[in-house]
Amino acid sequence: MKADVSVRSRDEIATAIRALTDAQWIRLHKASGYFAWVYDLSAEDLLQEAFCRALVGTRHCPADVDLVKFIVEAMRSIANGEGGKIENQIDTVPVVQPGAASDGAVDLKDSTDSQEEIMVAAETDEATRQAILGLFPTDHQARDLADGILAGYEGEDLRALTELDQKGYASKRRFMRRTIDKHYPRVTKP
Amino acid sequence: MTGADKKGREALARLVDVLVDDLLAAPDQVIVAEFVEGQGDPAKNAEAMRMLFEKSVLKANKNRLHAAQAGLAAYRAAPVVAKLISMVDVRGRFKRALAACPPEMKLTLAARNESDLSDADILGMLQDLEELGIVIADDESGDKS
Repeated sequence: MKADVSVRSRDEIATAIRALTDAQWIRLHKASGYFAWVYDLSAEDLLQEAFCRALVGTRHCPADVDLVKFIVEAMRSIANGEGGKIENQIDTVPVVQPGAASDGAVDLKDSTDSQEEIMVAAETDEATRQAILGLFPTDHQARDLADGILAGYEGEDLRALTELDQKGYASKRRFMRRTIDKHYPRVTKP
Repeated sequence: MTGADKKGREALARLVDVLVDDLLAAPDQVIVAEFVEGQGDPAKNAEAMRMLFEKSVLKANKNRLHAAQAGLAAYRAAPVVAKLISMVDVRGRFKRALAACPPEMKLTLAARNESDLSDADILGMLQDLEELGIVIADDESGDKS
């Protein structure tokens, strides 16, 4: 049986977006910047695409979902999709052997990473990790928090890693975000 | 991009997920105060973002118009397929329909004398019988005769 979830109409979405507060616009602005940073996209394009999908109806916006959260999720999904496209591209190399194929023919490159590629990627990842951890030179809890997130820790495991209570943990997360906010566009990344 | 690069990007994506969660959970006054401290005027930001949104509205409208135009063009370009029918088959169906009619159903003498009717009359009557549900349409019955 289908749940009866009402969906915002195009006009309702447009009206609600036009009425967003300064704080809500800041959230959208910052979130688009984060996703653009990770996936090498334009923050403006990402935001515009999310707006368009909401307006055209490609993504349905349930009436009970916070609009800012909805647009943020749309951006996350678009950015993920774009990232996936890049990752799934099949590398090609020109066929250069005389007589092997006609001019302009291409050959599929072996999609398995070479040892060299794995080493380079590992070095870049480590450089990124060190750059992020380096933002917290004197705060080991913030370092542990950031390191735990990068390593894939979640929820209670992540909090336990920092040895903080709930309140302290929430406050440390905020501190980490504010610190990264000040530096993230300049942090080297893969 | 290599699979190894993907791992690094996934790690950063996890970090960004946490940043976004905190951004959504933080109180409005904290968000605004941080912005004033680090980036500038929240009202100007809101104005720029609204302009971006209005551009998106125009883009969305254009996309809808283009989709509608493409749909119309596809409809117009679709070839009209004329259905070829054999009148011998049609007359055969008509005869069988008449034969299958229950005795209480009254048919005109002209209708009973199928061979005197024109092709157009036969087609029209068969269509009437189909609409009345007395004869099953060709498409539904799968009967080609």
